[in-house]
Amino acid sequence: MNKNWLNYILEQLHREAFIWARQCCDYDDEMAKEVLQVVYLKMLEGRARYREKSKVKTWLFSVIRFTAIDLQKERHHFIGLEGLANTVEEKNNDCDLDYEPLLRELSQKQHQVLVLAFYHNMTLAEIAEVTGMTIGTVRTHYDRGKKALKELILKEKANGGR
Amino acid sequence: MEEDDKIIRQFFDRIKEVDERRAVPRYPMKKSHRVRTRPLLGIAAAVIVLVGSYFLMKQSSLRDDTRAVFLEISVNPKEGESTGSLAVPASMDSWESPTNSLIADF
Repeated sequence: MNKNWLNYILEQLHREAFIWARQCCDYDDEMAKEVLQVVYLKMLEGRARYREKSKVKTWLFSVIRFTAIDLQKERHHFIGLEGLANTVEEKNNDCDLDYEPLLRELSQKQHQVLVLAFYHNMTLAEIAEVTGMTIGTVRTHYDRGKKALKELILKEKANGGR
Repeated sequence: MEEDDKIIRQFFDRIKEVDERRAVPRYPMKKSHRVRTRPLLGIAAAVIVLVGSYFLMKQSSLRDDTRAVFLEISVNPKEGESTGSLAVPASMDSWESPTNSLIADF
């Protein structure tokens, strides 16, 4: 694929890519920005290369997901207990929405599968490509995740949430 | 099952509405730097070629290409052999006495 054309598509997907990076980083804006920077750097240096085997979007989302996992591993390595307490406090102050705590209640895999399906409108096959799971596993997480999220939403509504 | 999907879809639609107002960092790979510098590199190369060829032409015109001239001077000329003279004989028509200026006609 032509480099300029790929650059154009990446620019069109930039907003969605940032949202996905944020969703992969536990809704941390700063970390999402860093993840995206690293992803673009990987592309410039040729460490992440699009080989036209899938859609640009699924390839980009896959690179973002792996980069976010790597960065989170590095961070968790250095955060002590004090740092962890501060992080939790900051997140509670920053979190003015009710959806983030609800989504955090799901397992990481259920969260990612539901976000990719309902937010980014991906098919189960595309989700399998992004997450590196088989379609069967994706379907299991999808069904269980939907059930769990529905229960959480109804519970939140019963408690007077939005 | 469709009811489940509807509840979840509405939930995610609300998230999308909130995210619409979210600030997103600028796209960093706007335009390739290489593409922008390409015309400038072309112009610079053309200038170098022009200046280089000008200096080469100038140097070749300054090169000394006079040919050696051999003069043969014989000291004892044989009979009938003419001796050449390096001095150009002055013409009688244009000759003027070197003391001509001393003769003043009053």
